[in-house]
Amino acid sequence: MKKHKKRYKDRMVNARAMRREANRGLRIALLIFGFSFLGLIAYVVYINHVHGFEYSEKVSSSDAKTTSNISAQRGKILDTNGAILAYNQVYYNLIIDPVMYTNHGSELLKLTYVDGKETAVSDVSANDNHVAGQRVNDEKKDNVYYLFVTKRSRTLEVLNKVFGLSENDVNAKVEANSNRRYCKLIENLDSDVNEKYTKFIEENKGSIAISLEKNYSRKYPYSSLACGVLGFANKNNVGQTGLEAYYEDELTGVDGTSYTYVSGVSESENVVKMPKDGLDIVTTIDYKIQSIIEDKIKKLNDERPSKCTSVVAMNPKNGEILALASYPSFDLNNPFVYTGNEYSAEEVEAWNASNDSEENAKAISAYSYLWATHGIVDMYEPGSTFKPFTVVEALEAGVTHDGDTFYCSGYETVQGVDIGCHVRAEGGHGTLTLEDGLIQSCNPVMIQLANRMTPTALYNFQIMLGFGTRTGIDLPNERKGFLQDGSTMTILDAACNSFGQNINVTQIQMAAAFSSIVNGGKYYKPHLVKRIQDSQGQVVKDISAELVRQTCTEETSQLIRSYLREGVDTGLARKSGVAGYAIGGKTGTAQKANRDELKWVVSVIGCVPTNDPQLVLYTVIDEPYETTGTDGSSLDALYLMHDMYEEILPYMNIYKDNDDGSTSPDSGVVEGSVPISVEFPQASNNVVNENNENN
Amino acid sequence: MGRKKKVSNSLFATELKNRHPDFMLVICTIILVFFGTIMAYSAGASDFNSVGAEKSYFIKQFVFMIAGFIAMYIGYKFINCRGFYGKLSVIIFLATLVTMFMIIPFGKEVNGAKRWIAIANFQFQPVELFKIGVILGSAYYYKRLRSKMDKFLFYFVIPLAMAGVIALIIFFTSSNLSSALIAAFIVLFMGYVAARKRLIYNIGIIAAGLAVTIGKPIMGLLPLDGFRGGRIAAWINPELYKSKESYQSLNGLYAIGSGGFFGKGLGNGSQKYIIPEAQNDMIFTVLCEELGLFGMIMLLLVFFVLLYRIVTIAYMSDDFYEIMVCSGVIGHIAFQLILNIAVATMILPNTGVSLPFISYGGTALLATMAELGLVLSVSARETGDTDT
Repeated sequence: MKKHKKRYKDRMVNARAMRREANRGLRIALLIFGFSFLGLIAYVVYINHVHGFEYSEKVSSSDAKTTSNISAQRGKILDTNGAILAYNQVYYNLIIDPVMYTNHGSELLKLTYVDGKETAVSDVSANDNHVAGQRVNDEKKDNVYYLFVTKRSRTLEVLNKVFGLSENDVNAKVEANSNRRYCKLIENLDSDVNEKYTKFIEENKGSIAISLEKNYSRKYPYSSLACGVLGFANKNNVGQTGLEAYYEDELTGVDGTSYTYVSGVSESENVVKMPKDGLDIVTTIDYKIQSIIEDKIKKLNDERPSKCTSVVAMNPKNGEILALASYPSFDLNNPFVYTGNEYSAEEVEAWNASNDSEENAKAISAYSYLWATHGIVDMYEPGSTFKPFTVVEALEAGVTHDGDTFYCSGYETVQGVDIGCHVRAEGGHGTLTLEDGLIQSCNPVMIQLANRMTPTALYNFQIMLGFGTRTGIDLPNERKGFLQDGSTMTILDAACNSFGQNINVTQIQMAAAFSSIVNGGKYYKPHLVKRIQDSQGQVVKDISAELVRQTCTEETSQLIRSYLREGVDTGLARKSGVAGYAIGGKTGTAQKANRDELKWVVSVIGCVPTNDPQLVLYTVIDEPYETTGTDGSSLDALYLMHDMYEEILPYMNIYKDNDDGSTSPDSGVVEGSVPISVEFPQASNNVVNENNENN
Repeated sequence: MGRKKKVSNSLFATELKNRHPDFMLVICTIILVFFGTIMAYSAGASDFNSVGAEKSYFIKQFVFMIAGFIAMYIGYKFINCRGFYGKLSVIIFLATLVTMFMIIPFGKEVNGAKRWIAIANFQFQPVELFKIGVILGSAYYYKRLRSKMDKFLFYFVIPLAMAGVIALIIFFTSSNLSSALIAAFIVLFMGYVAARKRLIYNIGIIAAGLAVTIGKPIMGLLPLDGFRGGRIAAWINPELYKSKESYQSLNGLYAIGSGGFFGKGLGNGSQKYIIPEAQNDMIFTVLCEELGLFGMIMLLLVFFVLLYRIVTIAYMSDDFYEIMVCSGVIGHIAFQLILNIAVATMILPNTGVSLPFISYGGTALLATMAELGLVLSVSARETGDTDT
């Protein structure tokens, strides 16, 4: 036992000794490595110290290498039919390399001597005064002699002949930037100058200290068209607002580089890394519809200015935004020219000029309001245009049916609060059907409907219709509105919600929800871009309609469409109607949140044709002209809708409808049908239906 | 006998001695690897073949970095390094050897050299895996015959023969001279650590030191030609061959020399545009140009701390096999680092050696980090004498 133990101990000692020895070896090795590192550092120090200057010269010697940036083109923005809404214009900057210009070297030029006259083989004309030539070889052997020519003189010659710059102009600029390798001499030159320059350089070879740098500036051919949607890109071609900002990653390309260096055999070689242009985006905006709408908005506001007028046109079958326009507009090419109506241009200029942070903040807020996409940023109480949703909710919940009757006494008392109807003074609507309740925009009917549902059910319906959440439209800064939470919603809240108060919405939420209740219950995510393609037109990504959820049944949808049509044919929305078309619509006049100010938001929402809607049009006028009294009027909005319909519908080839209420035989809505664009034959515009003319 | 602790010899052992891996080692690795991905981005700008190459270089390197960290974590958490001792070492050595031979039928040619095996979209350099095999295989040899490490035959002759055979295999299968040298060095370095008599090794070290310092002038006196000769001739008289053979080295040297103390700033270097393989073998020159002497000193400092930690971890270990594995990793990283810098500074003639952690290259990064995973495993495992 003892012997065994001793042997084990020996082995232990032995093994430990061995490891100790190995570790000693490792430590010595580490030491050697450490000294090797020091040696290497010392050698690099030596290289830098002894050869540093010489090698730096080789690296940065001005002739050896030049890098220049080749700008990539930003992608274009196109309308749905391919019309260009945003593109790039080429311009050139004249760049000088001050270091190269100042530390110009001299070089030998070969000159031939023919018939007593000197002819330069290379570019320089020896007769020019500022070319300080110095002869090296006067022997004129074989009619050839050599001349020293400075690069500076050659550079100056080009500058003078092509750009008309004198030596003094150049020197002033160069002296101010003497240590830099890059300095702009002239900016914003057009292509003609480039041609002239290229030609001159080709004819007169030789190295010079200047170059032309190609750049792109963003241009919007229709200046203010769809300004709130497109947004603009800044001087460095970075999107600031709207689609330009939202699709920045797709639109921006990758810059290329051109690299010229002298290879070992002193031949200049050029490596070019081509830029990769940005992708084009094809929007769903229809140039024609957009411009009709903007014209009409402008016409209205020229006569009867409002704080803001915003219109959205949407295809209810797939959520494509056909137009999104607002007043006031601005010029995308000059976004900093203030064209808003809130402040005078001088005021804004004064703010901009001042250094006071408060004043600046005012200018920023003024511009922000001007540039905003009001259709997705502004939140407001929708008022009566919300009522179709209440009716749909009640129908879906099964708490009412077509033909039910209600009684309106002019007001309704909810939790001890009297809520009036707009005809309270006349003693109310009396007994009326569900349909009349909607088309006469009767508040008590809506309140009674809301009372038949629990607040939670109402809340869930509103969520399903997309209120209180962002629609996810492809624009920056979308707001989500405000919804009273289901758990805290009182009966009074529910009552107010039923006619569009105590709820904040955005225009796009309304349009998307409305599209879904008129198209058979399909809620499509609203979107502005349908395709992303490269500059050759190759499709990179197709963005198709995104069906989010079913909001109501086809039956309910059909019923609400007939109600809405009745609203335009005989109800309060009459004035938005256009003779011969099956238009459905609902008006809204809502007092703005600060009730004491007596300011109004009026709106009209509509769809056409009612048997198979192809267009949802929604106008919201914030603080319309002369409506600061106790009673708002939706007349401006109705007339605007009428004017827009009148031109858009023929353009969209939407069928005229017989006024007997029957639908066209070939265009029934098929449940579950996928959105497809149907080619309609040109509708005749001549038929005027007398019945629709009376207002 | 009661002194003997219960020790796990199985490969998978999750019970750890320390709750944390060796912090210093992990931090050094993180610094080096992140630094490498950033340099890959900077140097990638010089790839003119594709637009946005810097981005794709960066992303690729980043992905391999993440994979490397996962490998390190697995090594630390689940693998017991000494569990490789025995048949497993031999199997791994032979398996990686087989992948080396697979280059001959399945290899993919890149830049005129067949060094890659491509499987679907994934391609890797078998030689990087083989280096791990070499480390484990040699460690097995040295531990198995540890009692004979005072006999010249076992501590020098056989290792020398092994190194030679391994080098020849690498050179024949992938015509990769530098990797052959590195693998041979790993075997001999581990021999140096294991040996109980080091005279012959010390002579070798001194000879190598002399060769490096005075070899260049002496070589200048010899007549040299032929391909390999051309390369060496270019090394002796770079200015004569500056458009061809020494184009890369000379421009690299200009880059180093133009860096100054603080360099031109990350991404501002210009030589990378004209140095071939700037993102790979010549990344040290980019580093010197852009970050200067300061950057280089910092880099070597971090490397030194890393090596120091591995030496310490080996010292703490109670297992000869683990010490040998640590030695192999040290030899691998240190020799490759020194060789790379010596080539970049033209102390040695040009062979393509990558800079560990920094050079662009997925397999190499992953393999080196996996080796560090083994070292971490040593640092975290329960100690206990298994040599007896």
